[in-house]
Amino acid sequence: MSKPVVKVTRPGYSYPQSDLRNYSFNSDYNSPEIFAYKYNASGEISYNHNKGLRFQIINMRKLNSTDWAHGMRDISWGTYADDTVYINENNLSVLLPRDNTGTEIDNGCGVFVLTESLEVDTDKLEISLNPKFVVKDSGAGLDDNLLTSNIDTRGDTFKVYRNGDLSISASSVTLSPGNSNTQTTSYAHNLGYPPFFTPFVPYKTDLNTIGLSPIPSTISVNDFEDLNIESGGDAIPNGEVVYVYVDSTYVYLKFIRTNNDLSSKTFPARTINLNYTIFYNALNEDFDLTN
Amino acid sequence: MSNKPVIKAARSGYDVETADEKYLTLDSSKNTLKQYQEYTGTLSNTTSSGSDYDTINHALGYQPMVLAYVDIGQDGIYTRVPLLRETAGSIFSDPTFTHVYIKRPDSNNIRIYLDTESRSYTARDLDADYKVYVYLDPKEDIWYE
Repeated sequence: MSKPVVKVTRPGYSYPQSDLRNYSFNSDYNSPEIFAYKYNASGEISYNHNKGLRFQIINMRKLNSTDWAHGMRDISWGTYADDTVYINENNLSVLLPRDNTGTEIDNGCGVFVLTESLEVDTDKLEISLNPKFVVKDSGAGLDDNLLTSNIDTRGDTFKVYRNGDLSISASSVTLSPGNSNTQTTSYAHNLGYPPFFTPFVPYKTDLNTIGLSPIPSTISVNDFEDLNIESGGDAIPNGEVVYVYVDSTYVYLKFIRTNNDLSSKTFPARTINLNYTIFYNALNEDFDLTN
Repeated sequence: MSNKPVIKAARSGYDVETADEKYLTLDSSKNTLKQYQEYTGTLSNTTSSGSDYDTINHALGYQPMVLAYVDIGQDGIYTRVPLLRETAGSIFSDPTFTHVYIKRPDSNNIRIYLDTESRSYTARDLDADYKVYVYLDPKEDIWYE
């Protein structure tokens, strides 16, 4: 049986489009779907899904009562987490990062559990057959398996809300020992809830511990997605740290320079650039579409 | 007629007519994240090499969104990339570190690396299965409505 095709072009664009990015969705390509989001406002996650599959996940850190960041190891001295996520065929665990004394440093966490299995495509992820309306590109018709198509509206998707740029132009500054200089910029998404976002960069990154030699005057934070993470405790920070996080109203880019030396220190001028993408997906609401 | 039809579907338990956008599983007026390619492979380190990598040619001409997962030691337990795993040492041996991370040498390629070392920079035998997923968005001319 041939497989139906579901394609919708981007608003204002006619069909067909040669550039795949000019489709809202296109069943020739898999739209990663979310069947669950597990959220713990005050601790770790151990999700015993018992579905016999290793799922793709995207984990997030709930830093405090309002702020969220990506679930990646901080690039700064003294803060490390080892592995924070473990995925096996019936359980996935998200641990909270700890500092170099073993103390947990976050409030909680969240994790998107995608329908995409890390194993063979012939597995099954059972879903209800009783929704009122389903769009699904399947030659076999409606079935109870979320894994048999590229689009199945019984699974949630990642939909883009906004994309934009943030930039900090930090002038050269001389700081006395122990003093800091903080600059923050933000974009008001005004969604009313903390949203999923990219790039996949750590909450904080110390520019002196990521192998930049010399540190350039212009930094692209998006490049932090590709870092060889240094082991915690090996480098004393020289005090140029970039932060990326969101809350219910804003996405933030922050740059803090701190003089940890015993004498005055002059920090050179830096331009810090970030391209962000915000999605409609909320980080503070638990759901499981297979229940 | 100037109205353009829209396809929408709501999450189970929500009314598509009234639900907030975050409860719509599909909305044809929005840019939905799309997976471009999936890549799998195995990285192997030896005591003489200490580092291995694979190059993935996505040929998109820009730096795309990437998700990667790795099974260190091929024991069936995956974790997300990048990762740093530290094994405690003893009075007889240094702690060892296992690094798995992504680098992008240019706009058409990504590389996934496996490094193993101890504080005395001694490599060790280790295999790791990986899966890398490349998405069409959200960078390079990304659109939204």
